[in-house]
Amino acid sequence: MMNSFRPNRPRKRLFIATLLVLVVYGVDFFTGGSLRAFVRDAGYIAWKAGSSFGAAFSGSGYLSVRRALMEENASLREQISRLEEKGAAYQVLVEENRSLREMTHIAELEGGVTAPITSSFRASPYGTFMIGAGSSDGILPGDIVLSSESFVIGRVEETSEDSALVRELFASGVSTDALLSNTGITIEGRGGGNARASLPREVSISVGDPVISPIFRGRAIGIVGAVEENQSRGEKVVYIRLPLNLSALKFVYIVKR
Amino acid sequence: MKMKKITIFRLVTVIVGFFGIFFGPPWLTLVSMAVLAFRFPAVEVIIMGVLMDFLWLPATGIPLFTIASIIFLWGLEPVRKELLVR
Repeated sequence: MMNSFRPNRPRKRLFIATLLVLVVYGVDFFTGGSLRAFVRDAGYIAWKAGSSFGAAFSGSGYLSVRRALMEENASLREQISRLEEKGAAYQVLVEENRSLREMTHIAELEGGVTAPITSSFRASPYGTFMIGAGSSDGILPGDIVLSSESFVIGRVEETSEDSALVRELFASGVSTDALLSNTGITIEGRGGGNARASLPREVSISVGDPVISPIFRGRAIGIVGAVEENQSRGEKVVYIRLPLNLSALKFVYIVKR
Repeated sequence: MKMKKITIFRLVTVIVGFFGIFFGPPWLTLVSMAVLAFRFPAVEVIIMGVLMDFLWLPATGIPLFTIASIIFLWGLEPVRKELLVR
């Protein structure tokens, strides 16, 4: 008689994989996050490689050369392509120079470290991003991350030797105590550099008012973007935002907490 | 021929998922994970979930993507069994 029992291999494989996940988390926990640090270092390399590829691709003028193929002869196309590449590379350098120059004035006021942002702001589901400076540069968990205009962007959460993970101040689900028009408020992060807070209706607020936080030694953490009055609850709902484009940021400044 | 198409589909979905972890929006990885788990008993789904959490989540947070990957794989197991060829 033929044996009709067939072992369920994929299911077994899944079961082993699930167990392995627990083992991996256990190892990471007991080694003080060494696996995480390894993955982040690998991620840093991948991101760096990806962004250089992207920059090389966009800077090469490949797409515009392709358009030009239909209109111009081969030698002119080649010339245009080269000029475009040089122009793009120049623009990248000008932009980098400008960002670094902006950082200099904060560096004059307080000691800290300027670090490049090494990951995309939109890739993280947890409102975090990576910077290219770590424990070897004296960065510690809890350090404050500032923009070129000294707005607090976030806090360093974890560090490895050459990189660090920063959590945005306005990451979804993060609450921060702050002051707005001398009134204490609790801000709830909404992600993407936006947050929300409620205030009593009597408090006078207008769009553009700065929001500061005593937790961050009185630094500005955002500005009022919009105000809504909730008549039924007798309160004002304030929408706060960072006055900068997060995805355009290239460098940040890190100061001690 | 059909097997080849299925393998290519799986490979492309995995690449898209991994691309999402490093460069794309998180929903891209989440969708890839869901699609893969719906069609295959794919171990890659768990790898994606763990990688996403190890890369972006501070140690104190709840590893939502790892949990999601396990839920996808085990939760969709009956559907895979009933509807699809392994």
